[in-house]
Amino acid sequence: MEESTSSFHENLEDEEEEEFVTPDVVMKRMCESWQNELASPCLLPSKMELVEILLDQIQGMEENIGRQSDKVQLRISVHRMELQRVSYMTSDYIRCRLQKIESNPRYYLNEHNRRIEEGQTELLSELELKFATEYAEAEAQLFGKTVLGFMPHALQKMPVPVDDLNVEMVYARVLEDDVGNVSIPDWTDPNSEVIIELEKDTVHLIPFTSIRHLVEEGKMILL
Amino acid sequence: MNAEKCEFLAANQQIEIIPRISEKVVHLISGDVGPFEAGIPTKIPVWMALMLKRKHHCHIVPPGWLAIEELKKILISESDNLGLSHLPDMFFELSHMLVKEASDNIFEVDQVKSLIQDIYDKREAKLRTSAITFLSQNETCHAQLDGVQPIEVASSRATLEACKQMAILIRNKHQSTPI
Amino acid sequence: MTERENGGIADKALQLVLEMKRNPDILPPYNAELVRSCLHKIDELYKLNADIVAEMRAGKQNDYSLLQPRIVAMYHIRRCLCAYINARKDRIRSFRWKYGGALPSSIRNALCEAEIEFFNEYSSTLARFQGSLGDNGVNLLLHVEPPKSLFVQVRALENYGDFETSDGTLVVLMKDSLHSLPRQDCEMLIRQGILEIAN
Repeated sequence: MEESTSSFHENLEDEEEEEFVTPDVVMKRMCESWQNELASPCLLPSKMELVEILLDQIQGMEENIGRQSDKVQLRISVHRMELQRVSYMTSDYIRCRLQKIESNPRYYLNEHNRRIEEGQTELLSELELKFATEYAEAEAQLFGKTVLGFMPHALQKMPVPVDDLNVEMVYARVLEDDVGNVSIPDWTDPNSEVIIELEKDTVHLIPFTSIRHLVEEGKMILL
Repeated sequence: MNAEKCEFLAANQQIEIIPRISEKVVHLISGDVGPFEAGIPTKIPVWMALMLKRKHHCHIVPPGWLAIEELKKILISESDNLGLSHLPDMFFELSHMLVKEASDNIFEVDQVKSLIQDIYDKREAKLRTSAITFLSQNETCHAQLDGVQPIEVASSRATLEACKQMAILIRNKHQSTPI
Repeated sequence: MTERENGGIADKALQLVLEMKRNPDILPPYNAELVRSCLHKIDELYKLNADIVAEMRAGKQNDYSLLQPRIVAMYHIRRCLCAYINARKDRIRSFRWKYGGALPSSIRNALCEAEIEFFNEYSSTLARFQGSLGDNGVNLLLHVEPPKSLFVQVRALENYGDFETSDGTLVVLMKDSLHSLPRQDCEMLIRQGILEIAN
């Protein structure tokens, strides 16, 4: 059975990534990104490029299976099962992100722009940005046509829920050596902080904002 | 993360099987598996092992720790140790799947099951006590839980919600106390 | 009339929110009448305040004591109205994931026009997004549960009739008939209550 993995390089060249990334590495990263997104109290920077690579792989594999004439049943079922698993993980990742975007589109659009201005990695992929913009507009129309549009001008502004990430706690495991220290708030004194050392393989119950950057850098994983 | 998703993740782990069939290498997206030669042990992902097992194409070799003597050791260390002992990765997820789908490949499976349940209960009790201790103080917003298993985290989501409520109370207290 | 219904508009605004809270599993019909009277009340309060402010500017003596309570009341009513629309919006969104782009008429009848527009807009926004993923698009309504096996045993709960699976096999789904179907083929039918997992 001809099972090509050719499309990886093309996809990654777009991202100007230099390292050679094999499909199994993409799968591993996707798995981690999925886990992080599920456990994170807010939307994390987009890893939709991994999804796109895997969708490409799925398509290639489906075509291969379709071309298979002598139906070696066992091999085909194994491939099908893997396709189901990859499809589930990618779809669930996308759904999880859409749900978060839909829960507060204006907030995430602002965050996305703020991150770009500050030179950080992008929060939304191009498609997600388009989705968020269109969804925010649909929501604004709904509120406008039902209630807000009939109120005095001063009351017409669309409400944006404020989620205070400072009170969110997470479970997270340290993935690398030399991650160093992080500071957490000192509950006994609002003006001071406590330093926590993060050793490899240790697991922490810790305020999300203290370790968010480490999750984004792939040095910790949320549980 | 919930129990089903934890199992889904655990099914990516590698496990040893003894194939009953011979088959060329299979090029999966997640890496190559095989070749398979009847009677020759090889390592493959758990999800695939379960699939082959259902079709009677292989015998699953349970991980070394999934045996009565090893589990007894773990149970003893769990009793001696105040904190959580270190378990193999995805201990509960893997044992659950294997006990359910490959019981005929596990020696004295009923006793194995009850030992795993005992280990789970011991750990759960510890986790519950430590959650209560943590939630009864108001000095630190950090706890270290090395060795906690994914399924244990999944079943203690309520603790996270309680922590959040506590953080809100502490913040309100600080905001209302003149410095 | 109950005591609550005798209460002021502020209480009635709260009723909108309670209506949603008390019916977590269904979508109650859009309460256009109550929404309208709430909006009317906001308008009325706003005008009363505007008159006082205008007189104040003109230097006339007036009683300012009601200015602040009226503002609070306006914002309270506004908050209830927004919470009402928001709660309904969340439920309307969930229908898209259950039924796809076509709403059953029973649900459609419970929506106001702007809500139907929202559903259609959301539906097509989602469809455009899904369609742009990868080369062939992705149906996000599928692959909802972690897969354990390729085929699932299902039982038909109603006489659905002919159903073609992705590999081209034709099956007839009759009430209580049992089938072994590819997982992804029957996910939608399970969610809509036409099939159930048997075993």
